[in-house]
Formats: sequence, C-alpha cells, structure tokens
Amino acid sequence: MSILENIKKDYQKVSDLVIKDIKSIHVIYLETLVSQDKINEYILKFTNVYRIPKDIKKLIPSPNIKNISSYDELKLFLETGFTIIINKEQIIAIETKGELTRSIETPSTEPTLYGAKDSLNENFQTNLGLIKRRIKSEHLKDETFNIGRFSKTMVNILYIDNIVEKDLVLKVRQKLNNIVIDGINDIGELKQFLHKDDENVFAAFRITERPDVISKSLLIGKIIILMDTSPYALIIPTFLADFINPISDDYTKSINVNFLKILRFFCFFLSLITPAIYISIMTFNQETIPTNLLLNFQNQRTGVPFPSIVECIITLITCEILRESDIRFPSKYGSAISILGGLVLGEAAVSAGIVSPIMIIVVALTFISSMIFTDLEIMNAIRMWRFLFLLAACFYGLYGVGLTFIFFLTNLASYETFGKPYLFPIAPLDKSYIKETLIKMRNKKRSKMLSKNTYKGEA
Amino acid sequence: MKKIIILFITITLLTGCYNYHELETLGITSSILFDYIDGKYNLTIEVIEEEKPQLFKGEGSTISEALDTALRSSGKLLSYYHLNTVLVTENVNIQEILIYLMRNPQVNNTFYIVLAKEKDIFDEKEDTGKKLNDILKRNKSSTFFELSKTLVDDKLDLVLPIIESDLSVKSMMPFSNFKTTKEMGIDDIEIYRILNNIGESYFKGKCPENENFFEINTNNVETKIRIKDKIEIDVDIEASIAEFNCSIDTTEVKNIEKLQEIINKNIQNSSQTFIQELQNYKADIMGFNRLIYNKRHNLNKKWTDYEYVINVETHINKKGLILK
Amino acid sequence: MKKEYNILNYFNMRSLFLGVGLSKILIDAKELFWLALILGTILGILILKFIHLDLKNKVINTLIASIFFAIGLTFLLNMIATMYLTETPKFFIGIPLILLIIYILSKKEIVLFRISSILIVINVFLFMAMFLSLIHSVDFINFSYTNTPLKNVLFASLEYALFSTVPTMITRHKKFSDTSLIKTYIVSSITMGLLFFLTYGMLGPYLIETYRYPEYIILKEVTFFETLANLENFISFIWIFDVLIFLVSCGNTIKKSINNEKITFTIIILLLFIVSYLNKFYEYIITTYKYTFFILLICSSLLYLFNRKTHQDD
Repeated sequence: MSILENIKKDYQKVSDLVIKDIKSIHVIYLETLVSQDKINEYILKFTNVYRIPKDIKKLIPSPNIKNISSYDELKLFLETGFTIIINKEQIIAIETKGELTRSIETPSTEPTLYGAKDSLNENFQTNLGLIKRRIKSEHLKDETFNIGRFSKTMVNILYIDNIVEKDLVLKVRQKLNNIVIDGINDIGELKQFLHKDDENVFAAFRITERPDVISKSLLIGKIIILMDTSPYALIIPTFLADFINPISDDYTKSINVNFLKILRFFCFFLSLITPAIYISIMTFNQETIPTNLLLNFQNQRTGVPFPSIVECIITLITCEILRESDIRFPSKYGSAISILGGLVLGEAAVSAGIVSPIMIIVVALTFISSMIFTDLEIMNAIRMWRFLFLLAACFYGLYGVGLTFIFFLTNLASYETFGKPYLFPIAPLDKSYIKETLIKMRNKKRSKMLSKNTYKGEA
Repeated sequence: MKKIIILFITITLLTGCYNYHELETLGITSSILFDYIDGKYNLTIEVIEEEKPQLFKGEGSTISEALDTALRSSGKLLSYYHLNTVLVTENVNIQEILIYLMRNPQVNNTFYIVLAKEKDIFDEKEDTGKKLNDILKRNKSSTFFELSKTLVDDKLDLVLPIIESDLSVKSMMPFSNFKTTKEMGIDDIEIYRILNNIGESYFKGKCPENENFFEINTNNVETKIRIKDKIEIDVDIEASIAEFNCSIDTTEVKNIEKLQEIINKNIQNSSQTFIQELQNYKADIMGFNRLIYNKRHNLNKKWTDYEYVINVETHINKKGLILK
Repeated sequence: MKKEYNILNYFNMRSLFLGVGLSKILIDAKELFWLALILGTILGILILKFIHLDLKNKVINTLIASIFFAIGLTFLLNMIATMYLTETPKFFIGIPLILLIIYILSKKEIVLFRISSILIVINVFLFMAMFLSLIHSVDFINFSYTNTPLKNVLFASLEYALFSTVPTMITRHKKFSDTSLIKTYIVSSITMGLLFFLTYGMLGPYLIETYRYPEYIILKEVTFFETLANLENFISFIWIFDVLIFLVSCGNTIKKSINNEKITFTIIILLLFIVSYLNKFYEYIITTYKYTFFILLICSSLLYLFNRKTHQDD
C-alpha cells in the first residue's frame, strides 16, 4: 500500500493517471499512452472471476508480462505505456502500448530505383521487426540502454555475435554508459558523446533509414545503434568509401555499375577542385587554355566589374542560399520559388553584367556533381574544402592547389574513428573491402579490419 | 592545428598576389615582325582584341627596348603564350632573336618562324598570325622547338620558308652559319621534303609517246643515307597516279615500269642539282656533317669533299578508282 | 608497413634529380648515359647492402638532416620561382610549404606512409601519361657519337649512385630489411632510365647543355587531341611531390633525434629564413648546384662514421 500512496503523491497534478480498484487488485495506467482496447481485452475481461488467485499471471493471457522489483522500475514501465497491476505483494507490468506512430512508408531521404521500399519508423518494435525479418539468426544480439534523466529514451546496440570484434562493442558500451544528460531527442545528438565533434569536418558516423543497408552492414561486422522515437539508425565504424555509393548497386549488373562507381569517385574530386582550377587557369597560368577559348573568355569578361575571384564567391554563395531555401520552404506554397532562383542566376545576372556566362557553367558543374551524394554531412564537408581550395588558388595559383590537396589528404589520413583509419580501403590497402564498396566484384571474404571471422561462405 | 590555419589565412591575406593577372589586362599576341634598320630594331606586334587585330610599332636598340616602346600606347601586358608566328626580315641577326625567345620561360614552343620579304603583310581585318600558322602547318614546316636545335649544333644549318605578300609559300632560304644565301624555288622544296621524309608531294613526268604530262602523288617516302667512300642516298617511294594524259595502257606491267623509270630519272637529276647548289652555298641543311662525324668520329673530310650517289625507286601501286 | 616504407624511399631516391642531378649526369655522360646508369645502379646496390646504419648520434643527425633540408628547399624554391610563380619573392613561396611540412610533422609517423602510398598512384599515372605522349618525338639521330672520354662516364655513374642512395640514409630503421629496399631501388632506376632516355632523345647533346631544367622543356611538347597543350605545369607536380616527401623525411629525422616538437618547428622555420635570405645571392645558388656532389659525399661519410652499426645488434 505504501507503493500506492507513493504513486499518488508523486503523480499529483498529472491528469492522465488512472487508478482502478477491482476486487483486490489495483490497476494503474497513464491514459494517453495506452490503448483502451488492449486493456479491456487483456485485463478487465479476465478479472470478472469470483476470486483472484495469488499469482495473477496465471489468469492474464497477455504475451508480454514483466515482474517489477523496484519503485524506479515501476515508474519506468508506467511511463512507457505498460499497465501496472498491484496484487497484494505481487507487482507486474503488462504491455498495452497504444499506436502513436505512423505506418511504414517509403524512404524519403534515400530513394532508389530497385530494392525494397520500406524504411524505419519512430516505433522501436517496428524497426527491430524489420531488421529481424532480414537476419534470422540467434547470433543477432541487442543490448538496451536508457539515456536521459527526463526522457529515458531506449537506445539499443545491435551486432552479430560471431562476426563483430569484441573490443569495439566494449568501447561503445562504455561510452553509452557514461552519458549524463537531461533529455535526448534524436539519434544525431548521440554523435557528440560517441566521438569528439570538432576534430574534423567529415562525419564519423553514417545515418540510414533503410533496413537493407542495416542488414548489409551487420553482416560485414559493423555495429548498429537504434533509438526509440527516431527513424534513423547509426552505423559504426564508418569509412569515407561508404558514403559514395548507394545500396542499389548490389542489385544490378556489375559491369554497368562499375562504370557508375568510377564516375561517382571522379565527381567527388570534380566538385572539390573545379572552381579552384578554373581560377588558377584563368588568372595565373593562362597558357593551358586553347587560343580560341581564351579569346572567347576575354570577350565575355569585358563588361564585368569584379575580379574573377569575387565573381566566383558571389555565385557560389548565391547557389548555397538557393539550395538552403529550397530545403526549408514547404513545397505546398508553390514551385515559383525555385523558378525565381533560377532566373536570378541565369539570364538576368548575365545580362545585367554582374557575372560572366562561363562562371555560371563552372558553378553549375560543381553543384551538379555534388548532388550525387545523398548524405548531407558529405555535402557540407565538401563545401568547406571547396572554399579553402578556392582561397589557396586565388593567392598561389596551381601551386597552391597542389599543396592544399596534400593538406586535404593528410587531414583525412590522420582521422581515426574508434581506432580505425578513415581512408581505410585505400590507405592501408585492403582488397576485400574495396570489392564491397568501391568496385563491384565477387567477394569471398570479410575484411580483417572489421572482423576476425573472415570466412563468408559462397558469395 | 587551428592556429596553423588561422596563421596561414592571415599571412596569405598580407602577401598580395604578385602573379595574379586578370584576363582583360593581357594582350594576347599572335605574331611579331622583327626588322633591323640603321642599327635599330623595328618591331610590329599584332595583338588580338575582340576578334580584331591591332598593330603596335616600336623602335629600340635592343629587343627589349623595342618591345617596351611598342606597348606604350596600349594598357596591356604582353603575353607570349599563344604566339602563332614570328616574322623576320633579312637584315636581322637570327641568333639573337632565337636566344631571346629561348630564355623566356613564358613562351610556348609551337610557333613557326618565317622570312618575310616585305613588311606590309598585316591585314587590318583578319588575324594574320593565325592564318600563317595554318598555312605553315599544312606545309609541314618545322616549329620553334626543332629550329632551336640548329642554334647550338654547329653541324646543322637553318632553313626558313619565305612568305610572299599574298601569304603564299613559294620558296625557301637556306642559311650558312646564320648568314643568308640565295633563294630556292618550289622544285627544291619538293626535293627537300622527299630527302627529309616529310609529308606528301607530287611529281611531273613527260609521257613517253606524246608531249603531255602525267603526275603522281607520293604516299610513303623512305630515305636512307649511308656513308661509305661516297655518300649514298636511297629513296624508296610509294606513289599513286593523280593525273594521266598519256595514251598508253596502264594495265600492263611494262608500261608502269616505263613510267617509274621516267620518275626515277627526274628525281635523281633534281636531287643532284639540289645538292650541288647547297654545296655551292655551303649550307648544310640536311645535316651531312652530323652523319659523317657519327660514322668516322672525325671531320677530316667534310661533306663538301664527298661525291653523292642517289638511287631512287618508285612503286606506282595505286591508280585510284579508274582501271586505266 | 614494410611496403609503405619502401614507397617512401622510392620518392626519396628520385628527389635530388630535379634540375641538378638529371642535367649533370646527362652532360657528363652524353650518349653513354645507359652505361652510367647501369654502373651507378650496381654501385648503389652495393652501397645499400653493405653500409649498415643505426641512427643514434643526435647532434650529427640533426646537423646533417638540416643541411639536406636546406639543399632540398633551395632546389624546390628555385624551381617554383622559375616555372610557376615568376614574380613572387621566394620567401612568400616558402611560407605555405613550411606550414604544410610542420602540419604533416605534427601528426603520427604512420600518416606519412599513408600519404605516400596514395601519392605514388598519382605520380605513376602522370609519368605514364607523359611518357606515352612524348615517345613518338624521340629522334634517334640525337644518340649519335660525341667525343666523351670514359672517365666522364665513370664520374657520372658515381654521381648517380650518390644522388639516389644518400637520401635513403636518413630514414634507416633497424627493423626493416634490405632486400625489399633493393627491389625498390631497381624499380626507381628503371623509371629514371626511361626519363633519361626520353630527355636525351628529344633534346640531343647540345641542347642539354643550354637549358637549366631539361625535364621541364620536354613537357612543353605534350599535347592531347591537338587542343590541350602546355600542360607542363600540371605534369611537373611529379617533381614537387618528390621533393616535398624528401623534406618531410628530413624533418622527421630531426624530430626523432631531438624528441621535442616545438624545437623542431623552430629549427625548420629558421631554415626557411636562412635559405630565402641566401637565395638572393647568385653565388650561393651556383655553388650549391655545382658542388652538390661533394656536399653529399662529405655529409654521407660523416653520417656513416658517427652512426656505424655495432656488431652485436642485427
């Protein structure tokens, strides 16, 4: 009884707490989190007996019943949507969660032409169910953590037992156990606790919402972090080569796909270096351009008042503003906004004499080749480096671009996440991981960096 | 690491850009004409601006001074990256010009040098340098890179094509130790190209029966020069018939052999006169001294002391689309 | 680790040939450069196999590594001042270079190995592009007889052996064996041989003596599809990467012997000031270019004398 009084005292001024007294038991639940049908079906129907037995579990046919041993645990289960039954000394919790989430929909940030079209959702059970449909083995383990003093969000680690490296699991477990925070809203906020945020511009984690990407990563030997109320999953550890190619490459013919993979790798460098090389060729090393083109460019630049570098920065910043406003503005308000942006950059700017046409072509090429990458983190990182290359080219020409390229390589080569180098399949050369990500070929082994169990069966 | 980036950025903002030149400030030269009158260099520079060429003239006792005075009236920097042709007259010392152009690191290597007879070649309406470049490319003259070898090698002499006032190439001028000699006409140009394995040319021959002419085009030429007691030159030509006005039957082998004999004799006689003339001018444009030194390891007997034996073999193996 | 260590030494073996090594060997040996190359390779293999070093004497190591750093910096600054940035003062050219070297030295040593294994792919690609597009301009008349005495050829082979093996003495470690280093040496000799063949075949015996950087002049003839010409500033990155990795290796040796990062960085910055001041005087440039061979000989023998391997270790 003291427990009941404690509950009544703690949950004063909480309007949705319901305490029902039926015969000799007390049924406690929070009205907004439970589904009324389930309570009726599991509990209230069956309490219509003459005498309630000592072990009430024999009476109630619900599939998910947990024993409660402490007061904190009672509060936790009450707040997750369970119904608490106090039967003299026995306290049990029955799962009666209500449907507060949307249904399974097509992926919105990672669409593909071929492949499955289901994506993760805010409900933890649905997510886990989608993954378990694809990996049916007892070796798929998951461990639960509750993070946040007020939010007590459920965070799970998933891994396959006989593939993954144990040290990695230990490290992640340690870091998650040390988190002290008031509340957590999305899985993106977990990133700063798992790895230092300001070490490098490139992202140390990859976020996905597709269950087939998750199952592929689990089978190579990576660890997945799932969170309740968040429709994304975190993949640990990540390398630069993972961001470049989408999952639908695995589902199509390999020779066509290899051409596209080479093209995407080439586009990565194209979107980094193109404005810098353009500036250095036009202003420092004019001998590289063929004569006819050079005369053309000279004619086009006669009316422009700015130097080339200022023109370039103006156009790049305008394109960034355009892209940002395109993401934010709701599409229901009409598509006239993007047309306006296109007009501003296109004919109007050229005929007003602010930019020259060749600059628009260069910047358009840069942006088109950067849209091949769907991950927002990569696009942001490339933008930072693009401006640094441009600055180096403006002061030192082609020599500056070369030195900045080596600076870029050093920065990536010294970046390590969870002890694994970021440029993994290229810098310590590893053929089996290259066959997973960069070039599609028959692959019979898992890479040694991620798992000790390298035998894969027939590929 | 952050401090290094900040340091880098502040330092580069303080340095200023020394080599930064905007495109509009450059004057892209297409051709230069060098002339030497009364102890002073006279230059004419053709700069392309908005697809119309502009001419600037300058005078000075050295090349740099003349270039400087030429550009005083324009607000541009000279850039030699896209030079098309360099024209010289007979009064100029070619060695000095070649050395000046070789020393400058901002000159490309693919322009042509020609000898101009008159100075009023430039046309106000179109780009003369580019036109000359196309003409000389079709004639397969040698570019600046190949001509620069003659500057340092004392066993090879320079030869330049000559431009008439209507921009056609009808003669060439061999030099002897960088001094001009006499002009040589179109037939000599054809022989020079055959002996040097350059490109296609044509030859005329007189028909065996009547007074008409027939003409062949050479497709493949192989020349080998061997040095023994006499210098032997073996020429092997594969040709095709271009124009045929004779009345003999070309489907018979004997007739073809007759035609080949006529062409062989033509080329042999022309070559002998060509080499004789070169020996008179003492212009070693074929590089015979180099070959002699390579074989004998000394130059006790120079190329003017040798006798020349020329063997020509023509194979007419293509007749076009017509049988006869 | 062993593979990447060898790749690092591949760059070191080629770095001192820029401007100085190439033209000296070709001028001395003329058309018998192939003989000088073969003799030099054999001599180099003997040097690599039988001279065992164990870098422990700190003062001498720092001094000699600084001298090598100064020589490499002179070569690189002069090359960039004539080709890329002709009007910038040499001090300003050196500032981003020194900042980059300090940045690379502040990371772990394994980062240098990773970078070199990426840069070698770019180097080989550029080299093959250059070779395949210039091979048709080689004129066999340029290999004709010149009256070079045999002692010049022998001196050229000694020069080749010294220029290519002395930079590797700085990066000797106890744990890596020598046989794979010899394989790397043979590969780098082959690529050097191709470069010699190309340069001499295009320029001939007389033009070699006129130009200061013959390997840059031949790059002016590279054209792709008859429109993209004058790509010499892109392809010369081969040489910049070579010398940069040599400079970082020298800095690495200084850092290891002193064991204190801040003093290493101050030494390197001081070297920049000294070298850019000395480059104002033409006598300094000329003596460095003429007497590089003797400087290398003295420094390498000093290095060997003080760092000789004791017989108990292996």
